[in-house]
Amino acid sequence: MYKKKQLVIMMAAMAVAPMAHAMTDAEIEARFQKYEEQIQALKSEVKDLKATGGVVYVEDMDKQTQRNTKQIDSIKSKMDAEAEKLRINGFMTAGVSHGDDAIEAGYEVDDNPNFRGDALAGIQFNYALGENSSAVVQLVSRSRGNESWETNAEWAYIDYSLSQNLDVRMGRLRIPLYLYSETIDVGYSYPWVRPPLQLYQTTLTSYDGADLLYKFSTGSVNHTLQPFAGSSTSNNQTDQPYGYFRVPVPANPLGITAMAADLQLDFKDLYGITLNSTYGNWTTKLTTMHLTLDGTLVAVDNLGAAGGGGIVAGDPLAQISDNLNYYAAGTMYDNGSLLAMLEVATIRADREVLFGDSVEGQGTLGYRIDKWTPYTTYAWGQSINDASQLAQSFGATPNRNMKSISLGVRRELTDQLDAKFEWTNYYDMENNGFLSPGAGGLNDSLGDDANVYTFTLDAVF
Amino acid sequence: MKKSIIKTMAFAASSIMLASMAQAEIAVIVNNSVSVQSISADVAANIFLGKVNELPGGIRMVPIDQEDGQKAHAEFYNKVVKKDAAQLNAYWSRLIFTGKGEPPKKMADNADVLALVAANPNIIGYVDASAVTSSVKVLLRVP
Repeated sequence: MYKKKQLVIMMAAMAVAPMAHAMTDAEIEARFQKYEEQIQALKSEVKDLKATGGVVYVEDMDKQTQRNTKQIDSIKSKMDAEAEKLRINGFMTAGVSHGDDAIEAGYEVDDNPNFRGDALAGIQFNYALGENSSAVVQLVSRSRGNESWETNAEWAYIDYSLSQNLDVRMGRLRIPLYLYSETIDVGYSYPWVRPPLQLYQTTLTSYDGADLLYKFSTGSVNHTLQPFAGSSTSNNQTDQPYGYFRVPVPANPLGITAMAADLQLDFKDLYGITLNSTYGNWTTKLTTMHLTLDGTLVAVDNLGAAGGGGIVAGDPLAQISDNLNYYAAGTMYDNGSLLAMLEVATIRADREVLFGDSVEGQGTLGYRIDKWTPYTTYAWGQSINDASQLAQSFGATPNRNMKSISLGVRRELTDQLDAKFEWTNYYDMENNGFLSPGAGGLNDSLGDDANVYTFTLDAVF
Repeated sequence: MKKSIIKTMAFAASSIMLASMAQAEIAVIVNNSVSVQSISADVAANIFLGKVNELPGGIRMVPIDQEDGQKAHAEFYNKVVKKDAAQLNAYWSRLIFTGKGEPPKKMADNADVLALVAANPNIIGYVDASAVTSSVKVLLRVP
């Protein structure tokens, strides 16, 4: 009789472990409560028996009961500790866009309603590896140019805290060029449907390397200083999950896509430093970055006359090697109602082999009224020196000239979900040949102007 | 004319009632062992937004939050941090998804925060001022 009960408790205790994942914390709590009550009841039963001297196994049973209690406690604390260690956060954007013409500038807009271009889902796992370190992986899935969704690790790093104000991180990290570069996929974090392409449309968004995060204050201004260094290799563009090739350099590479050329670039000697400062409602970000690019542009198709004559698939179109220097400054004011932003950047190429120098920027004004935030953005990109060596060899003038004006509104639907609608007019693109946006990207009949209408939903969880 | 006076009075009465209902004072509290006597609302906000992790004078502080549904939570973020839930989520998403910060851990209610602060010299929390006991030190009161 007593042995039977004993067995039941043991089995129950053992059963807890595998069942745990299927139950909510509250259910587990309730179950533990029940077991503990049962154990207490048994204990008192045993005590009674002891007092009357009627049972042989009393000593054994007491021990067994204790063991079971311990087992339950340890499972419980293990589960608590595990839940504490692992944090999971996610974000998602769903949307639909419609443009006058096809755009393949990273978001894939075309002249039919397009539900894929802006859609993405991300999930981040942050696992504490002890007091001072953690492992963080952020996976982002999107479909963009492909039929299927593909998943990339945009962040994957180990963080180690050297002190309370100094962290070192190593692995795959985001380049912190502009105000929103590091959360470019998290629509909920910014006011727009998508950050202005003139600045944010870059091939390199992540790199493999290391950075330091150093927090300090000067008076009531709080700073984070972030030196970083590493390297990166661009995917062969035909393997790009997004079906486009993003280059953070003056010439817009959309033309390459249209001409079906592969550009395999190695980005070496990538290093830079960012200073992010906040004071009251103000945030500023100053960044400088250097990188060396090294690669070959290879024709995929027979380009014929359109590509400069007589080029067949596999022909190396150009060997590329250049040093690029980036300088970016951004400032933002947000007092809860008024939102104002201004960002400017310039990119300087040493030899202008593939791309020339350029200046780009964006200004945004928004005003929050309850749950609505209407906003307007003006963004521009301007090549300083149009004629890169590559361009000259093809008799074209690549540039990064593009202006845009956007009007949009953000509406908070819940604390974790927003809806946005935006109209953007891209203009002054100067349809100018091989490496210009006009060649295969934002080309209407004139090749220098396009309207895009987009509706998105952004969630964080 | 009479009507309008009544209306005005009714309006005044209701606004007084609303005002008194909204006037739950918030107290930012630390352990009695902390040497700092008071802080400004800005400093408190910066600590709870993860912008700084110490009190003036260099005492390390870990902020402890209350659950979203708690009255003190709404009052604190409304009066001291001056951000609503959506703004907070946008703010934290910029830190969480860049690995630069995590929102403070949440306790169930005033009593839990009081107990934790009373027992730990490096925890800073907030509670309804009416819940404050001598077991903790108040650094800031916001009516």
